[in-house]
Amino acid sequence: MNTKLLYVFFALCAVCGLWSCSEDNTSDLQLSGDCMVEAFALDNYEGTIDLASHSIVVRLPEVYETSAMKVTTLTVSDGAACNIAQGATLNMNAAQVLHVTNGETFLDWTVSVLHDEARILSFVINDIYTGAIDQAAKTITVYVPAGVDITTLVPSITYSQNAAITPASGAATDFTQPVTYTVTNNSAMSTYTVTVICIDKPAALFIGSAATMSELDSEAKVACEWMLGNVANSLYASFADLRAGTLDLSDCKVIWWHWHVDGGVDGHDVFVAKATDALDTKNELRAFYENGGALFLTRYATNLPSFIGATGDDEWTTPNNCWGQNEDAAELCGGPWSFRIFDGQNDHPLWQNLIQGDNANEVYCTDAGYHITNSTAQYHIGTDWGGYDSHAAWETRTGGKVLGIGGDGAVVAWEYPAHDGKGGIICIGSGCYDWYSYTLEPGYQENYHKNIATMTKNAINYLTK
Amino acid sequence: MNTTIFSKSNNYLQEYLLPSLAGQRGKRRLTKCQAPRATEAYLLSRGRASWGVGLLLAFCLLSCSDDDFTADPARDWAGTTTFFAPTDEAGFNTYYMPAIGRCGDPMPFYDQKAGEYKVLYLQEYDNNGACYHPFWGISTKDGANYTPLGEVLPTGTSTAQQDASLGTGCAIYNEKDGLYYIYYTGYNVLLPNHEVVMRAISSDFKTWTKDNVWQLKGTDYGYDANDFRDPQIFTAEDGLYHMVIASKLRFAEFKSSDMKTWEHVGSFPMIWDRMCECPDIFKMGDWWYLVYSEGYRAAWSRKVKYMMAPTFDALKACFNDPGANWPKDGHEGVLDSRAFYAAKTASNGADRLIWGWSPYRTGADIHEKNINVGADGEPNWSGALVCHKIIQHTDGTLTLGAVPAMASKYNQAVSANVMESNGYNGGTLSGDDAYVLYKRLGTANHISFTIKTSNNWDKFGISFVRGSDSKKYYTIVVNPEDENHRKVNFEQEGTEGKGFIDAADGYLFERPADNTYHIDIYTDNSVLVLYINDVCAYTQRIYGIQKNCWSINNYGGSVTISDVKVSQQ
Repeated sequence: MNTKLLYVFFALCAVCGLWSCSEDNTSDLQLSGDCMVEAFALDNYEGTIDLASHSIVVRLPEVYETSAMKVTTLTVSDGAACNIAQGATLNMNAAQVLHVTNGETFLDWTVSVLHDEARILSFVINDIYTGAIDQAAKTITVYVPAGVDITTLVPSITYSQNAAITPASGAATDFTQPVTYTVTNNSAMSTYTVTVICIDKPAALFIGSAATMSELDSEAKVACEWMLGNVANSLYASFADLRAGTLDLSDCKVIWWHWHVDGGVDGHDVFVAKATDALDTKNELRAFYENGGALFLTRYATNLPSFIGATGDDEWTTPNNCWGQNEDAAELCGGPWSFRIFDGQNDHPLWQNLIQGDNANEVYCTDAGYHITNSTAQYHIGTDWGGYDSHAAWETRTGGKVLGIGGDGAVVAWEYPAHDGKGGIICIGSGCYDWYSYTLEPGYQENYHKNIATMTKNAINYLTK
Repeated sequence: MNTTIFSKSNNYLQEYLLPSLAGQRGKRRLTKCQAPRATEAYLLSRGRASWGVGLLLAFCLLSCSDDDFTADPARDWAGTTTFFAPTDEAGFNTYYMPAIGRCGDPMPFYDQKAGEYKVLYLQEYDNNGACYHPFWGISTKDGANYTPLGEVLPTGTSTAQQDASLGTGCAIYNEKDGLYYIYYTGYNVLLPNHEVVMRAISSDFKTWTKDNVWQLKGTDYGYDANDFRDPQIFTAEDGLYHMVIASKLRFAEFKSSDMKTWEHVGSFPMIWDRMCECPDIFKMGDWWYLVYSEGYRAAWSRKVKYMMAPTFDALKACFNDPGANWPKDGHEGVLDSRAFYAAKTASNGADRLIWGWSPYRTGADIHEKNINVGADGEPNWSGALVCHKIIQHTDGTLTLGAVPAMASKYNQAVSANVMESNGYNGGTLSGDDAYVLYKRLGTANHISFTIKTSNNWDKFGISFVRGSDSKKYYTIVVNPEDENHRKVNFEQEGTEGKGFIDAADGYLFERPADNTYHIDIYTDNSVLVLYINDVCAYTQRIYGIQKNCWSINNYGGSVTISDVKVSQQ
């Protein structure tokens, strides 16, 4: 019973205690001070203070070292203090924060720098023809096919943030003569000279499903860019362009299709399912081929000959041993990757002028630090499976000639020589033939990888001779 | 099956089949926020508006005053053996875990000024903010008893800062200028360099000033912009400070005479295509060691390992292709199981201790958690800090053992009553399914006993969470891989058990020549560490150990058990 009385007593005390505290509500907290940054400058470049976002942006010339900048002006509210003092040095490669306190209040201000960059980042005519930009020379070159009226081309231009450009993007312009564009941004200014070159009759085409070259996947785009820069009068065209017949192919000697698919294209049926755009164009491609046009087919495009009559009527002569990885998880090459020149083919034009490695019979393709998808379309040779007991049996059935093989003898490079007025075809399905690495390891030195371009140049020269 | 012996030719398939490790550090599980509990005291303190609550309470007490209470009957813990589902405490004080959140990568160092170890770690929450992983710390003199230091180094406050989030680094005391340094990873995926090495300086280890100017960017030296982390500083043979940094498949090396200006020395490879994290380099006796965490996304990887060599230069050469020069310890330098990661060491001059985190497990109940060890993906990131003592053998190879203070911390002896058995006679277990079940354990336990097997092939195990009615319980099996090798496996046994749990086996070691195994097991809540004869350390997470029975089991042969002791804190 005594305990219960104590409970009552404590409870009443609690009630009284609450009453007695209720009048005492004066606080010692100092909450009235301002924490504003009123003026700020780095290396005497004044910052723009935005009150709403508590941010300060300091604009700098396009080229300006920011890893050690001095705080030359810092004025805060009366009575306030800041964690960074005037005279301090800051690394402004990323933002810094000013922590301003006044009594018990504080505000954090994010300080960042913005370079006055005046660059054209992309230049696309009529939403199709992508210009090649040389940022050092400040020149842009755009190739367009014949039939395009170059007196009223409409460029879409992207350029540095906050910059202005004249003439404006989207304005119809006459490119009969080179046109000068001026980009200005605060302290920065650049002028670019844009030249449009009309290719009446392309000598070579790079083809793909993308409407424009810039929309190609990374692997094909790198290959296509190389072609446009290294093969005279070459153009990118889509399968749709071929079907539409808008291109004059009367001078076109060779068409190159380099087709990458993440995860690979394994066999005839998968090719039929995935290469619908190309197969919709097979009549046009067959006509080109039968009229003497040459084809250079690489990676999964090596399936195409079986569908345009290059292997006779047998459509089931596609590569039977195919695989590949995703571009963004491509395998690291610990050293050079290579495949072998087929016996007796060392003198073939395809293998000339390559950088030699330890073994003169090997074609070295990559260097340590390169990431490769190992995308392969090859023919397994052997009596165990696949239907090609030997290289001779493969040549008999396909009508092709073996040019290169893998370590296990698989056919990884081959040709269908020109005959009876039809064009020649060279196919490279080796996983080593790879143009694009999503990243390169520190210290990467390109050496053997240059052989990819050399091989390609050899193939195009051979097919167009 | 011997999963610790790998061949390089497997790498292609493993990498091809399994996604890249890149970005794993950012992987987080989100769960709901914890709300503060409204206690009576909290309500009473709210002032004028709460006076009614107090009055109500007073009336309530008055009205209840005539009631008689009868206590519920106490549970008979000592006399029963059925399964009970306990929960972990909010924080662990031996295998340290804070009351809220968990420990990420530990960064231990021995503070010679204070005469104690300080272990910094990345503070992880269920719901990290936009800026995450501040460095928190604990101090200890012995690796078994800890004093929390709270937050030591804060993150940035803006997601535009390079150190918006922090990654692993190291703390070090510079005798020359009397200052403490923390070199750390500034982590921000919104910036061109995701990972940059930064630093902060303190004179007292309490107030830290971040250096707003100095940074080490991998791209300035030809390294990857996104993998450039985990700086670790040590003194090399040339008397200079050296810093190693984990970049993409390479270790970068810098040196300094004053711990302020750093000169690029060069780099050395990691093991083929396996990313090695959290490097720690030290000299012990006549040998140089590099302890690292192999972060390959495969069930046999994600373990703490070491390399050893007589010189620092030879140590760097251990990783060279074509073959890694593994320590000659029979298991490629593996130090513990996959339940121990991101470990680094520190020495007080006498002992060298190593701290790593033991991952927490997720699942709907104890059974789901205990087998969710990350076989198909990664174990959960972060957990409780486990500390071992490094044992250096005469040939220079390393194993891990219990820190000496553990035995004295678990000093309350309790009886180990046998509750139930099968095939158990006079200390010997014989035949299939033979076992002896001991009485329920507490929250923190030290179990020790000796087992002698009758021949070179006998197999035995130790089960936890084993009630007499359990259809699933958890066993650490000492399995004969062949006549002369044993491997510690983890199994879910019982009539509904899954058996062998892939990716939780851990440790291959040589069979003791006399077939005698001295076993020491320490537990703190769900963290368990098993040591055998100074040759094997095996950490595991097993939820439900507390308030459940445990057993020693025999599988077909015959084993003799002696000196069974249980003590608690």
